[in-house]
Amino acid sequence: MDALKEIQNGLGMWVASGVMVLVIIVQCTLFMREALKGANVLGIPRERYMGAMRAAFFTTIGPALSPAIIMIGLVMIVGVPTAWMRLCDVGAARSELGALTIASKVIGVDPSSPDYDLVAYSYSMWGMALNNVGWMFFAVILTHRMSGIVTSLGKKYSVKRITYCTTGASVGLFAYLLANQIVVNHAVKKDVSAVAAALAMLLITYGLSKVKHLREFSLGIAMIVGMAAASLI
Amino acid sequence: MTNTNYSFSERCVKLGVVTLLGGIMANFIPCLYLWIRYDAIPPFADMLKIWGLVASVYGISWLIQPISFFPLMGTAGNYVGWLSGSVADIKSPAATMAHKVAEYEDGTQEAEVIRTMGIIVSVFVCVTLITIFAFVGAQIVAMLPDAVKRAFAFMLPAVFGAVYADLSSKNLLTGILTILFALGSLLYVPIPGWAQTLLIVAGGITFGNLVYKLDSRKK
Repeated sequence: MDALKEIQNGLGMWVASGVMVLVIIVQCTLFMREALKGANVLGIPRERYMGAMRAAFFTTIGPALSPAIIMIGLVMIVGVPTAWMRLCDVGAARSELGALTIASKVIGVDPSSPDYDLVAYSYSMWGMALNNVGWMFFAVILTHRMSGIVTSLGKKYSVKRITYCTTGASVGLFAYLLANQIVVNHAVKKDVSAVAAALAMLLITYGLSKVKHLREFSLGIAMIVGMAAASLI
Repeated sequence: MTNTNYSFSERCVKLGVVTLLGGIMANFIPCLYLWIRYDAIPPFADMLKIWGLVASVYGISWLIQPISFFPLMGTAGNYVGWLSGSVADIKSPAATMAHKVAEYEDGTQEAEVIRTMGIIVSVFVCVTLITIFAFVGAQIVAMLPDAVKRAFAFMLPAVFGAVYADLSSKNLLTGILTILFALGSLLYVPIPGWAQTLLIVAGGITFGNLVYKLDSRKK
C-alpha cells in the first residue's frame, strides 16, 4: 500500500498529470486573447467586460470550493497528482469516483479495500481516462455543427424569436437541474436553500438594482443566504 | 455590432478543435506513464470492458450534455467548458452571471464574447483553488467548522435556485411553465436522466416559442 502511495504521489505522476493542467491553461489563455480581440472588434467597453469577469470570479469561488473539498476523498484513493488533474479537467468529482470504482471492480477490487494495488490503480486510471475522452470527443465533433445550426436558424427566423427559444433552452436546462435537486432524495432543507437563494437573487436584481456592484456578487450572496437558511431550520 | 463580417464563433472553432485534441492526448499521459514506467496496464480485453461499463453509465451524457449546454455556453464556451468540466455546477452559472452584469441581449455576438470571458475566468479560479487544495487542502478542511462543512450539502440547490430565478425573471411565463413541466416530468414520467434533460430542455424551448407568439400577437 505504501509503495502504491509512493508511485501515486511521485514526481513522474506530477509531471504526467501536469500536462493536462497545462493544456487547460494554454487553451484558456488563447481563448481569452480571442475574446479580448472580439470585444475590441465588437466595441464592447472595457468596464463592461471587466465587470462581467468580476461577476464570474465571485460567482465561481463558492461552487469551486466544493470540488476542492471533495478532492480530499479522491486523494485518498488515487493520490494527489491524479486528483489534482482530474478535478481540473473534464469530469466532476462524483463522475470521477464513479468511473474509477467501476474500472477497478472489473478485477473485483474495491478502491477503498486494502487489496487496491498498482494493477487496480491502473484500471482506475484507464476508467477515468476512457470516461473523460467521451465528453471531449463529442464536444470536438458536435460543437461546430451546433454553431452551424444556430447560424442557419438565424437566417431563417427573426433574431427575437431565436432569443426567446435560446432563453427557453437555458431556462429548461436549469429547470431540470433545479427540479432534480428538489425531487431526487427530497429534503425540506434543500427546498429551503433553493427558495431562499432565489429570493435573495431577485432582491439583489430588482430591490437593490441601484447598487450596481452588488450584482457582481449576486450569486455568491444568494448561495450563502440559501446555505445559511437551510442550516438554520 | 460594428463589424458585420466578424464571426467570433467561427474564429473559435479551429482553436477549440486543436486544444481539445491536445486535451484528449494529455488525458492518456498518466496511463501511458504507468505502463512505460511500471508495466501496469489492463489487458486490451479488460480495457474494452472498462470502456463498455463507463459508456453504459456516462455514454448518453457524453452525447447529450455538449448539445444541451450549447445554447448557454456558445461555441467557445463549449470547447473550454468540456475540457475543464463541471459545466452544470460551475461554468454555466459563471457564464450566466457575467452575461447578467454586462447586459447584452441574448443571442448576440457581444453576449457570446462576454459569456466566454466569464467561463474562462471561472476555469482560472477553479484551477487555482484546486491547485491550492492539492497542496494544503487537508489542513484547510480540518480548520473549517462542522456547521460550514455540513452547509456545503445545500450549495447546489442554492446555486440552481438563484440562477433559475434570475433567468426566469426576464421571462416569467416561460419560467413558471418550464419549472412546473420539469417537476411534473421528474415526478411522473419514468424515463432515464438523459432523456429527462432532453425533454425538459425541449419543453423550455417550446414554452419560449409559445411566449414569443403570445407577445407578438399582443403587439
